[in-house]
Amino acid sequence: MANLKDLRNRIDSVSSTKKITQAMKMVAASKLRRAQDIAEAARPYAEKLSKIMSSLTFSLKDSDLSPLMLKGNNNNKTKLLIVVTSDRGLCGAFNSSIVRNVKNKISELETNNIPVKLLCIGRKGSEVLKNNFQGKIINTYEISASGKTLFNLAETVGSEIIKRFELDEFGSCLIYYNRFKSVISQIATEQSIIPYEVENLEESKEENVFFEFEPEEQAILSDLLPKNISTQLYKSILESGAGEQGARMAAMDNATRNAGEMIDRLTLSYNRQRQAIITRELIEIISGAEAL
Amino acid sequence: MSESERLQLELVLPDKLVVSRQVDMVIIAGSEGDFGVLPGHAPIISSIRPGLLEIHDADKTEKFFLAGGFVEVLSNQVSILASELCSIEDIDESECKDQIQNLIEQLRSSQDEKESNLIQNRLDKLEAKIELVK
Repeated sequence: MANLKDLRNRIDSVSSTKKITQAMKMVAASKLRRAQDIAEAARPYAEKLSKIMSSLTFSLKDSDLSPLMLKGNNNNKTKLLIVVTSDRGLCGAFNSSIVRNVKNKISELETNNIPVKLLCIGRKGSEVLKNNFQGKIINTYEISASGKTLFNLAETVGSEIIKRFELDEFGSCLIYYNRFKSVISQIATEQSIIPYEVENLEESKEENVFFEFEPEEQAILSDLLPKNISTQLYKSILESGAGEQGARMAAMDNATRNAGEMIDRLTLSYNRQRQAIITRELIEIISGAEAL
Repeated sequence: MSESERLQLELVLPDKLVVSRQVDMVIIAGSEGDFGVLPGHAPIISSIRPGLLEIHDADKTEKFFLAGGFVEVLSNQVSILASELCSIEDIDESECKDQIQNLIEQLRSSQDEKESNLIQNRLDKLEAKIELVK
């Protein structure tokens, strides 16, 4: 009898888990739409900025005058890796795929004797990386830190990166984040921020255009580069935010489905056992009656 | 005027697209001086100082305050990347004055050179802003 009761308890607990995962899926779905809208709204600015950046770098391409922040500081081998993850878990392989890539990169760099520093955006990434690379993490930012918009966060992180770069703490900088491709697919991406990778798509087309610069290229660049860094950060944080909700939605959808299957299985064995017990009791009664 | 002789203006903030339409002329407060852009303007990339942005369209003129940013003009395409922006009508003079007062006090008490540069920067922006409504 106790077995029957156990089964009933399991069914109850699995169905309340199912309810929770279903609710989390709904919440993630509505947050996803918002995150996607924000990411979409920020796209024009990032696109225009990278267009200006490519025109500028193109016109400075052959000169030695381009600032260190654009081409990286080759005298300092230290690499800074920026790791963008989420603050919360329960979103499938979203964070672990980023962490895995970062770990691979670190071991690859270390075999080449290149020192590494880490800067984490999002709590989950730093929690995992802390176990192995405690000494390398120079700072951690939480995305949902109170009272800050995401753009402020990007600017704060951006200015810290610039400050540390000017103090010669590292010579180049990579960012790891999940690119939002679609609701079900997020791609763990590696992008170089210092030196800045210009997307070469339009370069050939604009080759013949000679811009007037006001003030001259270097002055604009010294203004533009910090902006570009925080915009790139902003973009990655937004993409990762939309990706997080997408990943959570998919993970919770899976969990809901699994819970449903489990409930079906448990109900089946519950009913079988109940029937077995009834049959056994009937047999007992019938054979008792026959014995008389 | 035919469509090809008008400017395609795109005014963007870091988090949204503000204006995207055809206009006749824009006047921009460049860091080296104000300049107007008409159709057929030579390609130029310039930074923007805190000041006025005028958008002329037929008989209508829209005025904005820009706190800074960049502009790119290329084949009748004007892209303005603003860091901050507000419409002239939305400027509250007394609020600006209060903020300026605050900043001046902060500037006096600040020790750190970087910090006072930052405050000075914000002060300049506000002063440019208040200049527009006078």
